[in-house]
Amino acid sequence: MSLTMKDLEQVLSLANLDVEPHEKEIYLDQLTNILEQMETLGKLDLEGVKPSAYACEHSTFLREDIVKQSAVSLEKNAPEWELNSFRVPKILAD
Amino acid sequence: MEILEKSVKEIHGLLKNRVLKCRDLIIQTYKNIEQQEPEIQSFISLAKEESISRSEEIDRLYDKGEELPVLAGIPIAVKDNICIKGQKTTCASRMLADFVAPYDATVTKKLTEHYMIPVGKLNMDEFAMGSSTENSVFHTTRNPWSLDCVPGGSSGGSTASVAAGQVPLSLGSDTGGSIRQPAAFCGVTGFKPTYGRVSRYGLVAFASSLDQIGPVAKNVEDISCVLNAISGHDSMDSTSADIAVPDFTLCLGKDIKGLKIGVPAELFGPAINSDVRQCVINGLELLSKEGACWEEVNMESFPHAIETYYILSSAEASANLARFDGVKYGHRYHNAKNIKEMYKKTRGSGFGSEVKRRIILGTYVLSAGYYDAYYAKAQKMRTLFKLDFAKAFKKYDVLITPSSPTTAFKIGEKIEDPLDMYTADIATIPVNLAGLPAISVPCGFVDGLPAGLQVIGKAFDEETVLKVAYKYQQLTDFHKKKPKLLN
Repeated sequence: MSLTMKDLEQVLSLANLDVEPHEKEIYLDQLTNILEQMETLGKLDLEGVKPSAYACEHSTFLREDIVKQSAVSLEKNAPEWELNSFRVPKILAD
Repeated sequence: MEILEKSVKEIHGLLKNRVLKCRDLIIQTYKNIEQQEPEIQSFISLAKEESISRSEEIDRLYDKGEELPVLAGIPIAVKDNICIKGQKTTCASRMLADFVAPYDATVTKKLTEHYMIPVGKLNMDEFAMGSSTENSVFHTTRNPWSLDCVPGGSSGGSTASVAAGQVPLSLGSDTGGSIRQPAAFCGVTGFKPTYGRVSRYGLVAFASSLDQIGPVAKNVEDISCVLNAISGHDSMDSTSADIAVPDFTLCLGKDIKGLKIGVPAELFGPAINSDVRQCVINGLELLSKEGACWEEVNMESFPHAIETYYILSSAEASANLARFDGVKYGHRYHNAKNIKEMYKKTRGSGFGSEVKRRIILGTYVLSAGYYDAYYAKAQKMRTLFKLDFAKAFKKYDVLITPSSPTTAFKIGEKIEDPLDMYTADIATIPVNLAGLPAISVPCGFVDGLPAGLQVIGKAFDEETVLKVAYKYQQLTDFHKKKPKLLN
């Protein structure tokens, strides 16, 4: 299961990540090596083993949906802020 | 400088008896920081004015004769992925270079409740991804024991600052060894509590099922004091455990007669530097003389630690870091024609290469057609790690291993080879996969560089880990050694 340039470009698109063309070659090379190492898991027979999403045995919990903290200012960290909203580039095509 | 070499309890005594003013302690702390910083570069930002003003408030309380907690007035530095309201929290990334935290992390609130003084934010690998602190967008922190070596990572600033005598205490975060491996490299004591023991609210998430905040100090006693302050259930973190928190200082000094130690054979093989291995074996022999007994145990899952960890942590990171899109906060690429281009160029220009590599890997292993082959298998492997530990802990009270396969490596030595860098964490990763508590204590020197011994305990049995590590530090003086630049 080796990684191709097409796979890499598909993943970059899924991840909304822009990388320079020369970086793609480096990533392809490095990720091919990394995935080769990862494939050792593929050779293991894990039939019947239950997956663990968490390490912990204690249960997670939910709390009542009640606001306990005062609202934080969103404006301060916003890259662009206008009319009490985040301003972003055009979403719909012309 | 000498004041910061004292233990937390000693400093507390001086403050309480008014032999030492908190303000003078803080001024001295900044002198130490400023003196060492040009060479070590542990910090990303300092909070000098706030800290001095806070120290004056604490002096007033002490002057009034108020009973203050043992940590009151003690300076602490905080890894820059933990939020302190009103201060920058950059995660050592261009993405968050100007981000000002709008709220306090729960651990920060707890430090404040204990009247501690957070003096600054510490350097780290970007978003805690790395084992050398070379992946910081700002600068590479250097190892106080040898300036051409890395301090380890990702909490390299947290451990280098304590080793260099800049601060007596710090907080780091540990996802695959990010407190213990740099603690070993820098010759300090670093502790990862059980997953769920310390709230992660306000810690910028890397891999949520593995991340845990923990303290760094010069010795186990100081670690226990900080752990007392930061532990406990928190309704703001749904994975926080509602389990009673003992006084972690009470277990210190208890004897270890009859203690059973398991020694995983997989972490004493050829992958471990023979001198590091010998340092750990010497440690085991010292503990034996105190009545503990040890024997080898096989942990069959351990050889698959790297694969399991990098699949799970990268998958979780790819999801957690999806929030950095240039819309609500952080870096934004401003010349995009549409929103899709803005997302892509913001993320492309905001993240460094290791973070991008892990996002790509994580997205790939979660994508259709590859999920079962990688992610689902790694989740099953995690079960086998848990089962291996559960079996071992039926027989043993603790496990002891090296904290890292080698001592600190040279700056630049592994940065071009990610897979080689990942192997720096082989001894620490299994602990995170099983959510267990573990400590790294200095256990000797190899060619002048510190080596670390790791004690691993059962979930929520931090006390036994601390008891063993404390006993070890009573028998040795490696934790008292100082790098040459401090002599």
